[in-house]
Amino acid sequence: MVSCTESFITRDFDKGSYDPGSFFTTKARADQALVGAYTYLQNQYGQTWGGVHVMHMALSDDLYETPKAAGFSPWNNIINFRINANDTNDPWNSWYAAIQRVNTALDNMKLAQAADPAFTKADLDVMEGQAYFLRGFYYYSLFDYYPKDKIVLRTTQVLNPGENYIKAPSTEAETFAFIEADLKKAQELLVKGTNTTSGYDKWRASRGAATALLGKLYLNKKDYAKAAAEFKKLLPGVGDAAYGTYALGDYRANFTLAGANNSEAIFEVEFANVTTPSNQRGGGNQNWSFNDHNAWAGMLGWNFAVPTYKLDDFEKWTETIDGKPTTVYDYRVYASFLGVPNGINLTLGTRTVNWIEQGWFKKEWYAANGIDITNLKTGNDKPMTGASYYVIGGLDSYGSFGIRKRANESNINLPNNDPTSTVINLRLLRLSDIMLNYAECLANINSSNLTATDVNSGVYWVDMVRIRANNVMTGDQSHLYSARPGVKGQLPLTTPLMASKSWTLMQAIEHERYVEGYGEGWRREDLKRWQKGASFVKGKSGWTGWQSLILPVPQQELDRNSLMK
Amino acid sequence: MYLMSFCCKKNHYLLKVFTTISFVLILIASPTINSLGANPTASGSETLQQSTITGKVADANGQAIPGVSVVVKGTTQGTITSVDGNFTLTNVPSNGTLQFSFVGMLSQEVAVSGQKTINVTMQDDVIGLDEVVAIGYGTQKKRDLASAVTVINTEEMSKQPVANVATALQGLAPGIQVTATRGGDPDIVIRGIGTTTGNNNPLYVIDGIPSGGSYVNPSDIESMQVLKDAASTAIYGSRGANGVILITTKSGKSAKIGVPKVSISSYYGFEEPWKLLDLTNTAEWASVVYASNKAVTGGTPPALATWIVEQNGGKFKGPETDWQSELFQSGAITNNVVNVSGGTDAGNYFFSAEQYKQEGIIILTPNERLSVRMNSNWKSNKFSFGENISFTYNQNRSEVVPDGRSAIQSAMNNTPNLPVYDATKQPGGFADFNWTNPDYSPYASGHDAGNVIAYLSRIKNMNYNKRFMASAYGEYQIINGLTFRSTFGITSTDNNTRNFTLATAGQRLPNTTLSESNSWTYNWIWDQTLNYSKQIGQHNFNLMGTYSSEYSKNHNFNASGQSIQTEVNDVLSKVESNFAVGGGESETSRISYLGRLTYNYAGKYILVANVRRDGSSKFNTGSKWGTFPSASVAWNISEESFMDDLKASTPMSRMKLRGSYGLVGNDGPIGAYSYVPVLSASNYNNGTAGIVGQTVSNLTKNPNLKWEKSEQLDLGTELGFFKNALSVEVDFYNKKTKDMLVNIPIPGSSGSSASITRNVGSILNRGWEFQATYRKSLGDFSYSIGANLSTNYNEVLDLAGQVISAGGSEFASSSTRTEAGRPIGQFYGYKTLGLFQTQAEIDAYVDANGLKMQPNAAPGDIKFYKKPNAEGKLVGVIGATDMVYIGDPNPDFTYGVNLSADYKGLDLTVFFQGVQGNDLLGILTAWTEGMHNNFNLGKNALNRWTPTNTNTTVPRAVRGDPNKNTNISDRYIYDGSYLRLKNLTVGYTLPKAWVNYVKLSNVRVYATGRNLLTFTKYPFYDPEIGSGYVGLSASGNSSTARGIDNGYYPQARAILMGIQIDF
Repeated sequence: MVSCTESFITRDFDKGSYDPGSFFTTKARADQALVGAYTYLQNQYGQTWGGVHVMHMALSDDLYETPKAAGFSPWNNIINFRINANDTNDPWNSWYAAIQRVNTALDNMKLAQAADPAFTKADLDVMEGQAYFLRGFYYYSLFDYYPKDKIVLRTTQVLNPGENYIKAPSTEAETFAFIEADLKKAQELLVKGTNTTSGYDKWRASRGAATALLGKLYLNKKDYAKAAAEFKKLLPGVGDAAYGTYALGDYRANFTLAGANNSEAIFEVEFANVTTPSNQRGGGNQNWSFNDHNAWAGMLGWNFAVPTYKLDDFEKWTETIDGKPTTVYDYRVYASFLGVPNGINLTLGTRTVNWIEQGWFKKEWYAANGIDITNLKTGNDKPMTGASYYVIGGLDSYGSFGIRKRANESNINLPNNDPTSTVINLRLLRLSDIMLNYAECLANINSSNLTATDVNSGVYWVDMVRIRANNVMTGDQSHLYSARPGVKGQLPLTTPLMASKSWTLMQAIEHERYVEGYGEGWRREDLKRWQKGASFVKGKSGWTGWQSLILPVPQQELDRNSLMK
Repeated sequence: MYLMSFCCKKNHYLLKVFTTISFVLILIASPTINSLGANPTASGSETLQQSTITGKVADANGQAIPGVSVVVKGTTQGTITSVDGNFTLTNVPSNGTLQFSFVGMLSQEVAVSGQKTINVTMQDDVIGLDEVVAIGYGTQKKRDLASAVTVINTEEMSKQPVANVATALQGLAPGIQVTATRGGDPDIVIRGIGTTTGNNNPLYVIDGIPSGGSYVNPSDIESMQVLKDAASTAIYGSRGANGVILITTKSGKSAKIGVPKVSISSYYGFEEPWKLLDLTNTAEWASVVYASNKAVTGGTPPALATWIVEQNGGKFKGPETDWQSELFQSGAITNNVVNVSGGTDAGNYFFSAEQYKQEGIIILTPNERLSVRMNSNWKSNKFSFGENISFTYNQNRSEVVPDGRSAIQSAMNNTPNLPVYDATKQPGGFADFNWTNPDYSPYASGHDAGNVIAYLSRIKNMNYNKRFMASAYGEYQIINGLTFRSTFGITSTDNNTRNFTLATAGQRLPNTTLSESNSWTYNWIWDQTLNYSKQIGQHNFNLMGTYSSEYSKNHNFNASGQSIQTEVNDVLSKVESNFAVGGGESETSRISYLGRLTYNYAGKYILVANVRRDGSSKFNTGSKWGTFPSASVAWNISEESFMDDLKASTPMSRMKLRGSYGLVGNDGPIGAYSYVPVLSASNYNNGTAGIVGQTVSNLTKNPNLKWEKSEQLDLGTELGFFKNALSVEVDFYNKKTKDMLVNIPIPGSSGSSASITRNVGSILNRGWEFQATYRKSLGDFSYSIGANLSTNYNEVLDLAGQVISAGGSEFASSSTRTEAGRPIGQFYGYKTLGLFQTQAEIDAYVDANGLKMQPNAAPGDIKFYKKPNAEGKLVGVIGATDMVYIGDPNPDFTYGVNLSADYKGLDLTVFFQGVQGNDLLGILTAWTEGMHNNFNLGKNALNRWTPTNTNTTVPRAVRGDPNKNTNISDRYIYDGSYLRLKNLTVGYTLPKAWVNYVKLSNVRVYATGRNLLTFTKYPFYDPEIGSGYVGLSASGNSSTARGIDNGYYPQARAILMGIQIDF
C-alpha cells in the first residue's frame, strides 16, 4: 500500500524532449544535430538586428542618422558601440551558441556513425565537413567583429554545468590557426563541387564555401598569395572544378526569390515562407524571414535612411529618352536602391506606384540635381511639403525600404502584408565578391600588371564584374534597369575608368566593391582591411569605436567570465 | 500505477523507521488499552456516593446548545448534550466537578456538591481560546498553540461578500500582504518575499489536501487559519516556506436531527472604476503634439495637428471620443449560493452550489464561476469516514490587446479625434481598423495606438478552467487515544484557453486565427496518519506520525491555425491554413515522513516538536531528500498561581509567551526535470520545408540542485485584558532563506547566455506583527474593534555576486534591481535634477574631460544625475551606468482596521485596509506627459516647460525624446501609500417572529460598499499594484518586479445588495 521511495520520486525522463545521451543513434538523427547548427544562420541573419546588422547588413559607411532617428536608444547604442548594449552582446552570444551547436553535432556524429550501420564513413565525412565549415564560419565572424585576442575556443560541447562555463580567451595566432584548420578540414571532407551538385542540399555548406572563406581569412591577414591561391580555385576559366563551378549571371537575380542558389551563389542563408512544416517536432511555425533593412519604425518614425547623396558614388551618364535628356545610372543602382528617381511606374500586386514614392528622399538633393518635385505626392496623395525627408509609401508604419536588395517587393506597401519581411535568400558568399577579392590579391602581389586580357591581372577580374553590370537584366521588373529596354549600359571598362579618374587599380577595386556589393555587408570588412575606418567616421561626432570597426567584448561577458580580462 | 505499487527497494530505511514508530505508538498505547479495558471507571480505592445527574446547557439567550462536552473532571467519563441541550451522566461522584466545554464558548466547571440537576448557561468566548484550530494533520485548542497561527474570523468574513478567499484575507490579519493582480487571484505574501526565483504564493490546503490555489467558494468556508512560522508550517515542509493557508470547508449542521437546514444567499450589485484620468481633448493634444514635432529639426506634425494649429486657430469641433469611458463600464456582479446541510447522530452532510458572475469594469472582460460541493462525515462506533467533493468551473475573458500594450494604455494612447466606429457602425465597422482608409487611420493623427474597443471586440481570449477535487478519509480509533487515519485526495484540473481573433480589413488584424491550448493536471496525495493522545495527570501528550506520498502529472496540447473566412469560426475544424500543434507532459512526485510531538502540562507549558523528511523528484539522485526540524514552546503565564494577584489588581487577564524555531524546505521555485538534460528542436528552413534539427539545451540544467531552506524564528506574546474583552497579540519573526535557488547567468562564450539555477542565495525577512481586538456587549448593543499592523524588513543577504534586473518595459530593459545588501526588487533608474532652463546650463553640465554630459538636451529637458566612476570622476554622457536606486516597492508597514457592531438585528461592518511607505513605478507617466510621440496625453502635458512657462516639473515637448526624458527615473516614482475603506456593510436581520411566521429561521438583508473611499497620493487609476506587468518588452517575475504600473487592471468600487435566508 505504500509507494516506493527513491524510485517513486525519480522522474528523470522528460517526455517533452529527447535525451541527448541516447538520441543520436542514427544518421538521420546526427543530421538533426547538424541542422540545429545551421539554424543559427537563420536566427541571426533573419530575426535580429543589432551591431552586426547595422555594420554588416545595413549600409555600412552609409549610415545616416535622420533627425527623426535622433535619440533613438538602440541607435545610440550602436553608434557608440556600448559594451553594455544588446547590439554588442547579441552577436557575441549568438555566435558562441552556434558554436556550441556545432560542437554538439561533432561530438555526437561519430557516436551515431558507430551505432548505425547505414551511416557510412563517406556520409560522416560530408557531415563533419559541414560542421567544420560552420564552426569556422562562426569563429571567423567572432574573429572579424570582436578583438582578435578575446575569442574563447572550444572543440567540444559544454555539457557539465558549473565546471567549464568559464574559459580564458586564446591568442590571436591560436584563433587564426583554429579557424584555418577548421576550414581546411572542411575543404578536405566536403564533397567535390558546388551546392548545385545533384542530391546535395543547396543550403548546405560546400567545398567552395570553405575555400572562399579560407581565402578571406588569408586576405584579411593580407597574406595575398595564400588568399589568391584559394580564390583562384573558384573562378571561371582558371578554377579547379573540384572546388565547384561558378559563373556570373544576371546581377539582379542575386536579390530575387527566383535567383536563389544560382550559379553565383557560394553560400547562402535560406529564407522562405514555410507555414506547414512537413515534419514538425515542437518547432512551431517555421516562417523565416529576413528583415534587416527596416528597424521597427514606429508611427511616422524613422528608418535607415537611404542616403540618396550616395548615388553620386555610382557612375551615371545621360541618354536621350523620349526626346529628353535623362540621367541614367549604373544599372546596379536600380537593383540596389528603392526610390531612384527615374519616374517609372512599378506595379506592385494590384497597385501601381511610382518608384519615387518608395524610400526616403532628401528634398535638397533633388533640388541640387535639378529635379522638379513640385508635383510629387506622397503615397496617400498628399503633396510633399515641409520636411527634408519624406516617409513615402503610404499609411503604414513601415515607411519604406532603404535598399532594394532582398526587399520583398511583392509585399511593399500593400495592406495585409508586412513589407519588412522578405523571404529572399541572403547571399553570404557570392562569386563577384570573390572575383574582386582575387583582383585585390593580384593588385597587391603585382600592382604593375594592368593588362586587361591577362587573367593574372586584377584588371581582368574587375572588368568581368563591370561587363556583367552593363548587361541588361532579365530578371523581374527589367524595365527598371534600363531606360531603354534592350540597350546595354554605358559603364566604361576598368582601364578607361582608372584613366578618367586617375585611379590606381586598388582604387578602382575599392570603387567596384562599393557599388557591386552595396548594402551586402562587404563594406565594413573592406574598410577594416584597408584601414579606412578612421577616415570614414571623420566628422561624425560621437561615433566612438568606429575607427577600428570592431565591437567591444560585451560587458555581460566581462561580468560573467572572470578569465576574460 | 504508482499508487498501488509496493515496489520497495532494500535501502528505503525510512519506511522501516515509519513502521517501527507505528509499532512503538501502539506499544505505548497497550497498557492504556489494558487499564482502560479492565476498569474504565476506577478512580482509586476510595468509594464515594455516586448519582445520576441531568441538566440542560443553554446560551446567554436561553437557546439550547447541542454538542456541549460534559466531562467529570479528572476522568474520561463524559457525554455530549443532545439536540435540545440536555445531558445525563450516571455514576458521578457527589464531590466531583463537571467540566462543560464547547467551541466558541468559555469553558465552565461546576461542582456537583450533591446536586441531581445542573443547568448551565455558557458564555461566548470572545477570543475563542477553546476554539479548536486546524494545524495540519491535526487540531489544537487555540489556547494551546505554541506557534504563529492566525485564525481568520470567518464569521466576520461571511458578512462581507467577497469574490475569493485571498481578497477576504486582505487586511484581516497581520503579516499577510494581499495585493490585487491583473484579473486573477490576488497576490499573497506571508512575512515577506523569501525567494527571487519563483513565486511567493503560500500553500493552500483545503480540507487537508494541498491545492494549487484558493479554489473554494468563500461561502463554503467553515474555518481558515494562516500558518506563518516554521513550527506551524513545517508540517507542510516541502511547500510551506511561503506560509500555509489552511481552509476547512463546512460540514453539516442541523437544528433538528434529520431535518435539513437550507440557506440561500444572494447578492447583486455594480462595480465601476473609482477614478479616471484627466486626458487632453483633441485641440489640447494637437497643441502639444504640434509643438513636440516642431521641436525637431524638420519634424512634421501630424496632419490633423497642423490643420488645427495652423489653419483652425487651435480649435477642433469634430468628434471627441473619450476612450476611457468607452473602455470602462459599470459592470454587474451577481452571486447566488444555496446550501443544504444536516445530520443525524451517525453523521452529517453539506451540499452547496454557487454561481458567481462579474461583468468587469473593462468591457468584454466577464468572469463567471460555478461551483458545487458535497461534504459529509459519518461515524460508526470506532470508525469514522467522510469525503469532500467539489467541482468548480470558471470562465473569463482577458483584456489583452495584440500590440503588446495593455488595454488601459491603449485607451490612454488613442487620440480623441478618432471615432470608435466607422460610418457603418456595424459589427466590425470600427474606425482605424481599415488602414487603407485615411479617414479613419490613426496615422492621420500620427500614431499607431489601436482602437482598443475594436481589439476587445474582435479578439476573444477565453480561459476555461475546470477543477475537480475529491478527498475521502477513513479514521479508526484503534484504542482510546490512538487513531489511524488515511486520507486520499485527487485533484484534476483542466485548463483550456481559446484565443480567437476575427480578421478585419486593414492591417491591424489581418488574419482570422484560432489557437487553443489545453493543460490538464492530475494530482493525487495519500496521507496515512497515526495519532496518539494521552493524558497522565496534568501531562498531555500527543504524538503524530504521517507518511505522505504525492504524484502530479501535467499533460498539455495546443493547436492553432488560420482561416480565410471572416464569420465566427472559433472551432479548430474550421481552420484552413497555418496549422500547428504541440504538446508535452511532465510528472513530479514527493514522499514525506513527518512526526510531531505535542506536550502540554496543565495548559501552562506547551512544547511542540516537528520533524519532516521530504523527498522530491525535482532533484537529482543524492539531492532528493531534505530533513526539516522545528520546535516551539509556549508558556501560559497567566495560568500560574503567582499571577493571580496581578490579574486581580490589573486589567490583565491573560498572558502567553511563545517561541518557535525551525527549518522549512522549498522545492517550489524549480520545475520538473530541473536537472535533466534535454534536446530542443531547432529547425532549418530549406526554402520549401522545415528540416528538423535538434540541439542540446541542457546548459542551464543543474544536476547539483538541492532544497532551498528557510530558517525561521518566531517570538510572540498573547495578552488578554478586561476578562479578555481586549486581546492583543504581538509577534516578532526572523526568517532567513538559505541555499536559495538563484538563477545565475553564465557567460555567452560558454554557448549559452541563459541562467543556471544554483543554491547560492540568502534573503532575510524580519518583522513585527501586532493585532488587537476589543469586543464589548452593552445590552442589545455589541461591538468589536480590531486592528492589525505588520512591518517587514527585507534584505537580500547573498546573491553570489549577481544582480537580478527585471521589470522591463518599452523604455528600458529593466526597471528593478535585486542585489545583496538591499531589499528585493528595488526600482532602479535615473535620478533627475530638475529641468535645464537655459542652453548655458546644458553647456556647463560637462564631465571631467569638459565634454557635455547631455549633448542632446535643450532647455526644458530633464537634467540627469551623473554617477561618479570608480575614480570618483564624472566621465561620459549620461547613460546606463548612471542609474541608481530610485525607489522601494516594499511597504514600511501594512495595516487593517475593522469595526463591527450589532444592535437589535442591525449589523454594521466597517473595514479599512492600508499600506504605508511603499513606492510605485508609475510608467503611465510616460503616457500622460511623455510627449515623445503623438499619442494622447494627460492634462499635465499642458503645463509642460516652455520658454514662458518655466516654473514646472513637466519637461518640454519634443518628439523622439532626444534627451531621453522618458528614461525610467525618479520622475516615475510615486508614494504608493493608501488607506482604503475596503468594505462597509450594513445588514439587518429580520426579527425571528416575522421570519418564523413565514416558516423561515433567519433572514438578513444587507448592503455593501467596496472600496468606497481611497486616500492616496498616487495619481493614476489605482495604487493597489501587485506583481505582474503588461506592456511591450514586459519582463520579470512576481518576486523581483512588483509595483510597476503600466495600465494595471484597477480595483473597482462596488455597491452590492444582498439577502441571506435560512430555513
